[in-house]
Amino acid sequence: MSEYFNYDDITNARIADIEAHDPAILNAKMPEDLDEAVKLISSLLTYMPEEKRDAAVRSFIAVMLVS
Amino acid sequence: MDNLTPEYRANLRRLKDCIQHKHIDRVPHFSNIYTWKILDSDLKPKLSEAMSNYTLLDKMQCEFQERYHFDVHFDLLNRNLLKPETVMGGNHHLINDEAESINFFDHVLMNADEYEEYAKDPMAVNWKMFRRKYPDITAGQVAKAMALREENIAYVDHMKKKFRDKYSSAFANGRIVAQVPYERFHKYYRGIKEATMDLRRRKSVLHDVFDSMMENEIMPNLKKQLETFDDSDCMCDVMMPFLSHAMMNNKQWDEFYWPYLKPQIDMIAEHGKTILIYCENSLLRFAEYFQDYPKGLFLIVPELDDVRDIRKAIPNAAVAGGLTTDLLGHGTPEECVDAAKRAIDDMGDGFMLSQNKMVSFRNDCRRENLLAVCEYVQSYRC
Repeated sequence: MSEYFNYDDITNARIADIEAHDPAILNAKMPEDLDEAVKLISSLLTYMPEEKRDAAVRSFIAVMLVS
Repeated sequence: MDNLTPEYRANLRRLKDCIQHKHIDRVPHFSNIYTWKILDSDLKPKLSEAMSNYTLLDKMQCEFQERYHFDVHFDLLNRNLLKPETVMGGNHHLINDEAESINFFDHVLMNADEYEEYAKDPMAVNWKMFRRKYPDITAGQVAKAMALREENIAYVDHMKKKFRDKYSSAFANGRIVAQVPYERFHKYYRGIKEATMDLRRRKSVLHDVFDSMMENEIMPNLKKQLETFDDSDCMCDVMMPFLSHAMMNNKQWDEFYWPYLKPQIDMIAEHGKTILIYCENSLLRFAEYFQDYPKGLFLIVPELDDVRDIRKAIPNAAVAGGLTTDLLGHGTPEECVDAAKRAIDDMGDGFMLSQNKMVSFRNDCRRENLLAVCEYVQSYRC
């Protein structure tokens, strides 16, 4: 294994998992309602334990505003 | 802390002792070098190529360390990990390969009349801002960006561990970043121009929202983080970037900055932790506010202030600096070594040699100058 950082296998597996979902959900535009949006995005994060998904989405939304 | 090598422990001890103003065997060398590392690399990638390839970033960061041997780093080429923004189809950074620069655009995401709503329900306003920042985004793009952000986090963990275990070189600060509420609006939500006008036009509502943030978010989170995070393998526990103070007059500092900064500093001090203050522009106007804290709490990295002036004004703080990008980029190796020697001699204990700015552009530094300084500081004995 290379000493240099390579996360491709993990990231690619997660993205493949996301892309295996219904295209109608994948391509859905973001609703105005936050709770509805969190539910929609969470439904795609099946590589993640279910109990962590909603909090992860909310945290991601806040973090991306200050990046 | 149990799994640290003896070499790393010795380096960390030297850094922490320096902050405590203890006499140490040699002056630590602190890298405030960012994108310049990519431009200096013998791998010679385009900036855009480097920024999208974390394996390449890792290689260049290692190449940098093997050439210059810094004791501690502000950045492990982890500052602009832009994969999540890129997959969401828009961001506020522009990578310009021709100019060899990464620019961050001032932008307005939040409307002036949304302060009150932010005080009551910050997440609801966050969501409005998110949709403005990433219009037309799909659920699939957000989910993929989240997977890529996890890659960012893994990169940072990997680099910190590698630098600790392989190079015995430290990361400057732990995970806690403490800032006054206004910084968030200034840089990210309202933009510099609008936020600066808000200080004059919306005083009352700003106090309402800042008070609410302090009570409901900032102080409880800081307390929890101070009690649960153990980042004692980093040089400092907490990072405090001072950015927006530069746009304030002293009266505004007294009203909008210091009352929200002091409780955070006090809480950090009560927990026996150390604070790394990264200060853009100048701190001297506000020096008196920091003079009564005990020695060993602050390490200040000033941008425009001469390290000697900071030492005179805030003698209880350790200081990092002494070399300007102007000199590193345009002087000779001899001139750079002379400047390093003068700074070390003038400052005495509680001083780390560093660069006054985030070294980012090609002309900020020349390899032969940095090599000469590194050779000097690594062989100098106090």
